[in-house]
Amino acid sequence: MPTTSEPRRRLAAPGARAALRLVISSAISSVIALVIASAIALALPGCPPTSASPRAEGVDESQVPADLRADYAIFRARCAKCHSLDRPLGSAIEDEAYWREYVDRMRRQPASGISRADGDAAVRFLLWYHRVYKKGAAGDARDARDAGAPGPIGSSTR
Amino acid sequence: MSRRPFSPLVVAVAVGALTALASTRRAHAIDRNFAGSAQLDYHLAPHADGELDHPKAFDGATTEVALKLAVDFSPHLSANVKLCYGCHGFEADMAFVDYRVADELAVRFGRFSPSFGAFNLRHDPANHHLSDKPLPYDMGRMLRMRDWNLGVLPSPFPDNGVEVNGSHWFGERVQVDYAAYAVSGFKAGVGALDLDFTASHGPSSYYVENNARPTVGARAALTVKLGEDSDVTFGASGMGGSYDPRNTLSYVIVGADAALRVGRTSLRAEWLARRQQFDVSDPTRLKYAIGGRPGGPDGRGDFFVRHGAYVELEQPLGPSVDLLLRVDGLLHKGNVAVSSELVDGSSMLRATLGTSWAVERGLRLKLSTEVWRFSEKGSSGRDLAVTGHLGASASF
Ligand code: HEC
Repeated sequence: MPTTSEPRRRLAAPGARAALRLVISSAISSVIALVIASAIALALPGCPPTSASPRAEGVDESQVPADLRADYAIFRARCAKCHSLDRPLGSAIEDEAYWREYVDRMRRQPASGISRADGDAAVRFLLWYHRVYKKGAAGDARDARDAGAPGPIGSSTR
Repeated sequence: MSRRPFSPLVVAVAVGALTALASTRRAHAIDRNFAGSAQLDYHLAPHADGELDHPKAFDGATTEVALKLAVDFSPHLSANVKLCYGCHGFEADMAFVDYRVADELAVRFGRFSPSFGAFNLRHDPANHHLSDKPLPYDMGRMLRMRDWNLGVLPSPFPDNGVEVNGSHWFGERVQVDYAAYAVSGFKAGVGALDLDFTASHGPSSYYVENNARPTVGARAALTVKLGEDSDVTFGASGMGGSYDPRNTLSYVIVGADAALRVGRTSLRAEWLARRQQFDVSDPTRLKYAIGGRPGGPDGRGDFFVRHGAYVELEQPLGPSVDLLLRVDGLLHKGNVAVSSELVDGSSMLRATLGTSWAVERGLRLKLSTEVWRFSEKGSSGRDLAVTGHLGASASF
């Protein structure tokens, strides 16, 4: 069987000089990245975030009714494991039964860490968010809720 | 690697199916949801060594767009169709039906990415906060991608087949997931030296098997809730099969992963290894002798092992800014093609510092810089490179 000769390996020994170069170039590029990022962030429109276009992950907790804050905390912790909260908050789903199915679908994603009780809490928060908060100005949320707009929000899963 | 353009017929059928499913009336008590994402990324890679007509890395803009329709026919039966557009043109990332008997037992069949590893769940650009994927799962934004033939298991890896999976909770704190599947598997032609990822994904072979034997695999994971907003996950995955039309060449991919989440801080680590058997009928195509004890000084055997790993920290810096730190790398052990710049023991290491900015609900800006360290200088004469990403991703 013909054999080919061993190529001469040009493995760069991880010497002190190479390590130093790596550290210096990482430091320089990190600083450049942070400067660019900050410049872009500062250049973004200076208007304050609104309920319709919040420049933040999740929602401002002070806008969440007191009795839903615990549910919101569970939603925020459990639904951000695999993606941004933008996915459920940006969804067009409003129907209660469908939110239950969707949250169940996410609960069954591998390693979701979402128990049935967590799923119930997420559904309660999502229904308030999509049927009340998203619709009106944040300040009107409680009024609309008092007026019964979202309907009773059950707590059982299928 | 040449590629046939995506057949207009396939696009028409997929769009037709999406439209038909979407227009199903509510009166039938069928729930459906449209979701999608798009990412445009500019990869500044001044050290993308290689000639312009056959570059070894993308230096410029890449885009990924996905449109997904999820339909729930009943609490037990659902279907998902996801059409993606990326560097490979259009591709069906998902087209499967899922039948769930209970949380502990579900069967899905059609086209889907089989359960392997932890990252693939987050492969959609709307689900991960850096522009690029970790090197073991890289799909083409890596430097020297042609010498390395991508990473270990480029993600996503949709395939046709069937999977049985389930999830069981022990009390309120401990969750166990499991999955076992048979899919058509990766492909390459007769006499291959490695997998052909383009042929494996593309419609050039009409999405059909190239050999009669499926690839089989399984995954198991354990998640423990440590507190209200913290949990830890450990997972192990494996798949194996043959990839050439004659069923003479095998591959096995194994992986282990761990993730810790405390509040909004996530620490993730994953390791993958692929043992790849290759054709040795013409030893002159290979750099090293084949005979003798594999791995010994006198020969390299008829396989190589490709390792890949990453460790990643995601740390929110405020309500709208996340900081990301990732170190990832690849290691090649074993023989290589004469034409490749790799040698036995070649490695690459990358350190990434990135930020992800929530500009508005559903819109994120992703910025990152990467420092690369190669074990060989290669044709560029450099063993260090610095690249950057400027990307925007949107989801709905
Ligand atoms: C274990 C991972 C995981 C967790 C935890 C998780 N999701 Fe998801 N989510 C996914 C994946 C995977 C996708 C699909 C992305 C894709 O299409 O590739 C997704 C997508 C979505 C979408 C977009 C629509 C779609 O089907 O693509 C919504 C809405 C959503 N998730 C809501 C939620 C909610 C609400 C929670 C918390 C109750 C949650 N998710 C928790 C994995 C997860």
